[in-house]
Amino acid sequence: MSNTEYDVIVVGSGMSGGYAAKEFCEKGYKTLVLDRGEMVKHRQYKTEGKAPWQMPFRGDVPEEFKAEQHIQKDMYIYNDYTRHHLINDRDHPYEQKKPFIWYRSATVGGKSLIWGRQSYRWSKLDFESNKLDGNGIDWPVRYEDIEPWYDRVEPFVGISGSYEGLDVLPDGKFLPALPLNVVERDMKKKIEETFPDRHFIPARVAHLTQPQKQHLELGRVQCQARSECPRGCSFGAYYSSNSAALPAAERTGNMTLVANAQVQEVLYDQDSGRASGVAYIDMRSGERKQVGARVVFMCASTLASVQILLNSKSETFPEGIGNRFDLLGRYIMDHCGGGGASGMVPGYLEDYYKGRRPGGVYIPRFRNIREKHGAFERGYGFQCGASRAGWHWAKNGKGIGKAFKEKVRQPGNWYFTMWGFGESLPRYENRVTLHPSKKDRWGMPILVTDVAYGANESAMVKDMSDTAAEMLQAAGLQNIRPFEGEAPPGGAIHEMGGACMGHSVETSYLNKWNQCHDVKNLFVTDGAAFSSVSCVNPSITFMAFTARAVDYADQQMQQRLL
Amino acid sequence: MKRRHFLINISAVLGYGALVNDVAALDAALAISGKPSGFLGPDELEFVSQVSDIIIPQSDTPSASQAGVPEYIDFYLSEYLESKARSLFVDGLRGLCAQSINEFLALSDERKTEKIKSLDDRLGTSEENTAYKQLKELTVIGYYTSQVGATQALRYDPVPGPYKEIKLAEVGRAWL
Repeated sequence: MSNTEYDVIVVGSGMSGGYAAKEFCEKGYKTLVLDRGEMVKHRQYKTEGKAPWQMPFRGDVPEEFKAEQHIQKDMYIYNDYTRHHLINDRDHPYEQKKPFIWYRSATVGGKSLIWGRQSYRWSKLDFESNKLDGNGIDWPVRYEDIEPWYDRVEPFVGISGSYEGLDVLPDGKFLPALPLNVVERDMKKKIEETFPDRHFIPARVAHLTQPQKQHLELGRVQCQARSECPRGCSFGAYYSSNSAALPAAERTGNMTLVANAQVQEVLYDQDSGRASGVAYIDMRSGERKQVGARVVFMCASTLASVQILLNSKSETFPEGIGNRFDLLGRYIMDHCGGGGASGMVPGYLEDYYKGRRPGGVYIPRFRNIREKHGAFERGYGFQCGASRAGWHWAKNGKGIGKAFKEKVRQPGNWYFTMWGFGESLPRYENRVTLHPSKKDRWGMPILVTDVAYGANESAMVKDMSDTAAEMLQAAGLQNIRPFEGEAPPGGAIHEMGGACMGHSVETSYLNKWNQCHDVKNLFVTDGAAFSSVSCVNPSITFMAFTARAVDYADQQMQQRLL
Repeated sequence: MKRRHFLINISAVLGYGALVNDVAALDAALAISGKPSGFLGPDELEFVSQVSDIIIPQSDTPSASQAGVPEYIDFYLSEYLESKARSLFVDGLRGLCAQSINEFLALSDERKTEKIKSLDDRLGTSEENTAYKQLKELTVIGYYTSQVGATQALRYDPVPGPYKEIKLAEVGRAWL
């Protein structure tokens, strides 16, 4: 075993890992960042700016590639411009006892390069729900503990949003909000009049609507409304690790970033009772390497972090490092969704827009706030937006000749769609484990998912569909189509849990500082640490917890306690 | 070009396996001009060309064939579709109008248009012709995602700048 070459090892470079690297490097710690993905450097985005006619199949993906990405091909952003940012499923198999869709990045920067960019704070209620309704384990922290860290993270990320003063969706530190369009402004009036407890507000997204000094210093500028985000953005206009956190870490001179490094285990030193470092495979050469550090931060993504920790076996911890009470891999969650509605907005045919707005409307949670709903616990929010139909109807629509051409080149009616994202409950039995014998090409035991939704989620998805339709009704839309999809867990790409935070080692894997109860220099700050999922998109909350955990580890190291 | 060879090239360009950092090589590999790959014979290509021009004729903007749609369809057949799907489609094309391609080509313009219109009218019904449906879809995609279609028939704005509301009259067309 090598001695500690680095102060800190960060496993993963996405939403959590990138930010952890930035914070440690800026505090002066020699930081090694290991990522399984291919190196993708900011502004070296292969398909950025390519017009459809510059792509061989106009953006469509041939079956051969889909066969190699049989899971990833169903992701909403998957096309010929983005597929190289998603993992090859053949090389990285996993087993589903029950259906679980595992969307994974193939690059440095992780899913921060391809995320949906919606950014909301959790509310006081979100941190209290487990305690209030008795599902899952009580969070060892409350909103007040995390609030200052949101305050720290948000200005760096750059989030556009409006100040609304809502308890259910705390305001943050915002850049100017994206405007609601003319259709949405009128819908807001009608919906908020009819349903006084429901709020119709601009989506809060990690896009620079008015870049500040710290953004400009990193070469990040105003969002150009291209809507090519998942290809990568040389303007740095949406937040990604690649455009912001990693360059910030890089400029300190304290970061060593290694791509194509598959971390397989966290090494445990029996004598000291601490993690001594990690072992990883150089995926190109197949060589196994070990590297030491004072502190290890797991930020590999929810399931990947759990997979690595389960595979970190020693005499003391035969079931995975720090896993004395069989809690590692339990309480796996995702947002339930697939419920919503769409409809046609009559009129406004003289109104249009220039640019492809990166976010529309958000309707925050309104269920189980003041009064109990009865059919289910907790609640859901809606992501929505109004836009005009373009030319795509013509692919399968009727018409030939000059009249057809005329029709295609005019925008169609306005449509408004609402997609619900619901808070599923934490369940002890929803878990992932390591396969007893199957391994991937590099010798890593593959993950087995055993996760399913229950009656609470079904009832919630049904309610999403009903309330979406009633709101569109109130707003005067036509041809309203409620939908109620059966999206399996993983489908919302907000998987969380598996190494949950809690009050005691008997009930949880991590303490209130994202620190492993039993291994003090091991931290988990990605989605795996989460004891519940709220109904809002989690990324900036991953970052807030990461910032807080880095600060704590820094203090501990300064006091020579780590 | 051999399909598999082409896919391997593209795969390398997009970062599977081999790493391609040479921007020129990248552009060369991606800027597929849709040159006919010779999969369709001359009569078949002519047939596709005429049908696509009946769907999207020349008006104040170019027609489908002027925008390279037949070549795109030929390329798509040869390089995108797998052999089984390709045979199905081409067999479907050959029997599209319940007569041979040569018989169709010999018809008057009016008769050709009538034939295509009757196929088009059946789209979305139980009597829909699968090969026509696919041909129309390829024609529409091939045209509106071509440089001609996107910039002349529609409006294409790769870098719009900050999002703003406008009146339709200011642009007059749908965006790509």
